[in-house]
Amino acid sequence: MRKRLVVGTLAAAAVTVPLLGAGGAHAQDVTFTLTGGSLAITEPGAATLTAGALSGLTGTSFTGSLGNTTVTDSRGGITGWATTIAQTTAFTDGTTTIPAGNVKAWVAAPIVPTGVATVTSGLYLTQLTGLTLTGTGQTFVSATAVLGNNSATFNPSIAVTVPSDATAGTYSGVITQTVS
Amino acid sequence: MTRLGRLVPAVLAALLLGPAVPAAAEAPPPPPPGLGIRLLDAPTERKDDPRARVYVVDRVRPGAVFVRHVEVSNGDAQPMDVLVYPATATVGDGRFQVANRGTPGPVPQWTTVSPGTLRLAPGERAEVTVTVRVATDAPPGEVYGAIVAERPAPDAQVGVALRTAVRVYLSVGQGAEPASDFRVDSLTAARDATGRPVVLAKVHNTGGRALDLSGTLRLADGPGGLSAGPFDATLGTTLGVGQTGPVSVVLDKALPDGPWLATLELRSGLLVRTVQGRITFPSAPSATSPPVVPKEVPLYEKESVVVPVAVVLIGVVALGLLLLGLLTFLRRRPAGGRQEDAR
Repeated sequence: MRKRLVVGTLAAAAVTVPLLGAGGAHAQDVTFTLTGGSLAITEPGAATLTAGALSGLTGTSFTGSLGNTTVTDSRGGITGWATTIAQTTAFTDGTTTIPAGNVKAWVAAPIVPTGVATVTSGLYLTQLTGLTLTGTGQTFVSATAVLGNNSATFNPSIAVTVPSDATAGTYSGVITQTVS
Repeated sequence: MTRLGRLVPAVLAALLLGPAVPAAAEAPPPPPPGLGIRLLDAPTERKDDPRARVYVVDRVRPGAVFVRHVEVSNGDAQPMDVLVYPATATVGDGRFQVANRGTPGPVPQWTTVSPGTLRLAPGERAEVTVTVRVATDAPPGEVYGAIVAERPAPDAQVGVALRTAVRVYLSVGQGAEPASDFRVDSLTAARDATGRPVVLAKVHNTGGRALDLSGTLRLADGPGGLSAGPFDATLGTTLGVGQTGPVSVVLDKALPDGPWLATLELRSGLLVRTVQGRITFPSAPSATSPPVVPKEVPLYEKESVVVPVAVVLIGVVALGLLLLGLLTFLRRRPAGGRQEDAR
């Protein structure tokens, strides 16, 4: 009986070796299944700016809101999360492109999370102190001191300053919010 | 025994195949609103590390290949088209920032995801296989990235694209993983503009891996023997190798100036460091006291460690005594047998 058990173990070892060897990976390639939840983000998807379209009113600044953005962290851990915001496609009417640096984002209202977490947009609280966007993501809203599942809803405001040499037209662009 | 003999390879095979075995047959709860992502598997040897449960954290050799799985979910009431792709990321100023799609970097270069596009019905979840093939000429060091799920922006004046991501922290190199470590360079007592006392700590990542820090502050030995806390520390989420970042703890306005014995406990994954320093808050708002170099509290001076260590020690001593007794008994028995034979 003892012999059989040894044979079984050896067979398993024989299976183990080529599998690990083929990948050239470490023994840590042995994994286990995680049961935690996900990190999710939702948002209406499209926003409009006050005064309708960015129709080339040069030198003026248009403001609007991106709509309620909700981050739901059901991972159940102690690791925080952070969102970044980027102007991934600059506002353009086909002729004039408004540089990303003309766009600012902030969160005016205090963010009240559910669950245990401290969620803040830092100093990005008004148009004056807002985050000047770039083409790549910059940290915008972050959650620290997280304990277990939590969620937070915030409505980012944006302001777009139309450059003085802008042509008349309807401008459109894309802003990307990322959570990780 | 025969059954056990069959069971051992079966269990090993199941371990190797990992996520192929579903956890439970019960219906999962509906996905959270919007676009969700979660990591489905992690290396067994990082089982106790809370970071490895939500991020891809691994030590890999050049040329290594490993597979992970993520689940992407649509919690909206409409169908959703989703792109899944690997991206590079930067760690700096205490922040983890995921780059745009197509930005070159080691993680997107080494990683393939399948499928890369999904159309998810309301409430649907889909599994995505992530294969990482580390370049054979990859230099040693840390690389950062993310497995990203993206809902592209709809056509609109201001289109908003949404992305959610599982962070990737890979340490590339031969041999054992470089140790994680950090040091608290200074503790500073201050008051913010509204007069709330604040403790600022400067944390220096002195180890070989990025850190995701969290922690608490306790005040003791205050005026009239007062103590206070624990207070949660807030900080930039991530500190890269060699980087220094601030940790701030905002306290209650009602606390007296001190002096206090401040104990700051910070952790990243399984690594915990505790430091102590004597601080006094300034009386005026927007003022700062001179920084104090804190001293590290060794693990054995902490009550929470002393008790379990003591229990383990007692256990070891008891086991030792038991073994000694058993050995003595075994030694004496054959001797007794011989005596009987002799008779």
